[in-house]
Amino acid sequence: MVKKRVSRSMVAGLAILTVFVLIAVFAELLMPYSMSELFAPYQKPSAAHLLGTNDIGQDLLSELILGTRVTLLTGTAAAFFIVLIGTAIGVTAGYCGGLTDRLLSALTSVFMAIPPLPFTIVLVTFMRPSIWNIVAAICLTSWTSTARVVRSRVAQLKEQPFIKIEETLGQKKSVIMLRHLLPNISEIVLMRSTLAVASAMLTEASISFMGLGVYNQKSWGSILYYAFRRNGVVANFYWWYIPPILCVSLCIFAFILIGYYGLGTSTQNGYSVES
Amino acid sequence: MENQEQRLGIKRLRLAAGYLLRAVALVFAIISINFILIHLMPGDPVMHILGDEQYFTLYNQFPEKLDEVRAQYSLDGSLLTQYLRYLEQVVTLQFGHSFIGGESVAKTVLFRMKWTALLALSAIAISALLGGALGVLAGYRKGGRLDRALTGLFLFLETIPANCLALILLVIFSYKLHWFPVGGMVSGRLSGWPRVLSVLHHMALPVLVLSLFRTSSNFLLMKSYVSQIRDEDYIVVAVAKGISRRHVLFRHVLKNALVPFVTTICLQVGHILSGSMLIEVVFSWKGMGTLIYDAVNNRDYPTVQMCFLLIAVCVVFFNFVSDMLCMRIDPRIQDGVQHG
Repeated sequence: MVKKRVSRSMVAGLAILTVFVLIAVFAELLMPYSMSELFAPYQKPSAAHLLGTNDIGQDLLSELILGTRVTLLTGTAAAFFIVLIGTAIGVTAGYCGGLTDRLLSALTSVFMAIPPLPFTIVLVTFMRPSIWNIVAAICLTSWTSTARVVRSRVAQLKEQPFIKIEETLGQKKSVIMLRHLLPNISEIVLMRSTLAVASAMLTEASISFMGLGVYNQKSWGSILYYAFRRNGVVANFYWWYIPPILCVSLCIFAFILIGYYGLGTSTQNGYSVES
Repeated sequence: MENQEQRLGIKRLRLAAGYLLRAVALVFAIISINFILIHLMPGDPVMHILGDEQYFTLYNQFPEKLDEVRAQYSLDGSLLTQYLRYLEQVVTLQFGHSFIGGESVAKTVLFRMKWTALLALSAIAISALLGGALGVLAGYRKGGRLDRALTGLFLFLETIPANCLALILLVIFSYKLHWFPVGGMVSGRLSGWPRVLSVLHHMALPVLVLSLFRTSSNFLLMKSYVSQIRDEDYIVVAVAKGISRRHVLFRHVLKNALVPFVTTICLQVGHILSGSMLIEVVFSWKGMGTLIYDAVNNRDYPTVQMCFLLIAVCVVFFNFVSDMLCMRIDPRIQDGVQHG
């Protein structure tokens, strides 16, 4: 019964995600107009422009489709590096222990004490606006919780007999970490990845809503920023601001379905409710 | 006996000193990060402060003005002297002047802080009570109807970005129904009670949105604490002794669950300055959030930096308070048992 429900939410999440990924990959083919084609600004939805046009006359549907790629790319790239850094630090700290552990844990708690969103905003403000800088800023602030979770799991695992045996046999530390510890935390890592994508997308949406997005590569958050800033919300052009909201929510929902319901119920250790 | 008490006191003192040391080290680290940010930038930091256009105008016409700016922001001399001077400025609260309008950054920021705190503290108070109460009820009967309904609702809420929900509510209740003002904090030229009522009217929607999200996380937290404690042996014993359910809930379950809950709320208070950033922007509430938003859009670096510094120090301070609180309430920590 429980198992069935788990797989169902996983399938639902994957289905939603597949649609978005396909849109992102084939964006150019699906876009009715290119972004360089300009029409009359502030048009209402019509047969020619299903979602109308924005403040400078670009087609909003095309913008939304291209935004899928920017948003997904930023979210997944950030999540990839978050998990990579977090896992590397977590495994090293958890397995090596001693001074290494204390140094890495201190580093983790320094970064944990810095409020993530303001720090990301400050970083992006000071860097030249580009997708990769946004990715870097998100990574720098949110690898900590993954490192914590992985570290405590690894610290438990290293007391297990199969690791002790390898140690007695004189196996190299790096081999133990990569070949023996890593496969055993793969479930946690996988779950952290999906949740990391969700939170990275949320962060990206927030910082581009603050106006820090890249101008010619608009994500869903940037579309919302322009709708808000260029009076789209005041004039209630709902075809302008509702679609990006729906897309962001649906996408995050899909990742949470996969990570929390799909994978989360099988490993209790990976997810903890954070304030 | 006395000896033991004394030992406990020393242990406590040592622990507190450790927490304090950590807090000071963190503040130091944050100030340093702020310093590094300016200097890691490629090119002349003065260019980032002034913006490209103004920099090149000055560079071509008044090069000596450029040195003045450099001196004003302590950007001359070796990196070490610059760093020491920067530390001195931060400690003496000299944050320079905003590029936009030229007002003292510290004055603006302190004014904005009050309004943000008003918004955030109300939201924290409402959500702590509401989320806590609902969490206790749901956690005590885990898997019950209330639990399933609320957990579903709140998990669904987590998928909507806060600024999106705020936008939708703004359109419905302010633009369409005209129940609430479109933005701002108070209608002009009012004093006394009408002014208070006007402020309350203005903050209703932003506080609602903030409270919803906070309640959601507080609920999930309290639920997990209560449902864990509920399975402990001493609760089973209490029930087996025939103690009334209400008594068990309030005296045995709640009392234990409150310890971690209160410290979490304390941690939330640390985020009062930054937690409502996006909501403030949507409702044009003139607090820290809109200040950062405007500063970012105008590339007003001194303001951005001071805001970040203040936000971070606030977080660190309340982390420290929460640690101390935890130590006072929970005697287990004094015995050297760390958890979390």
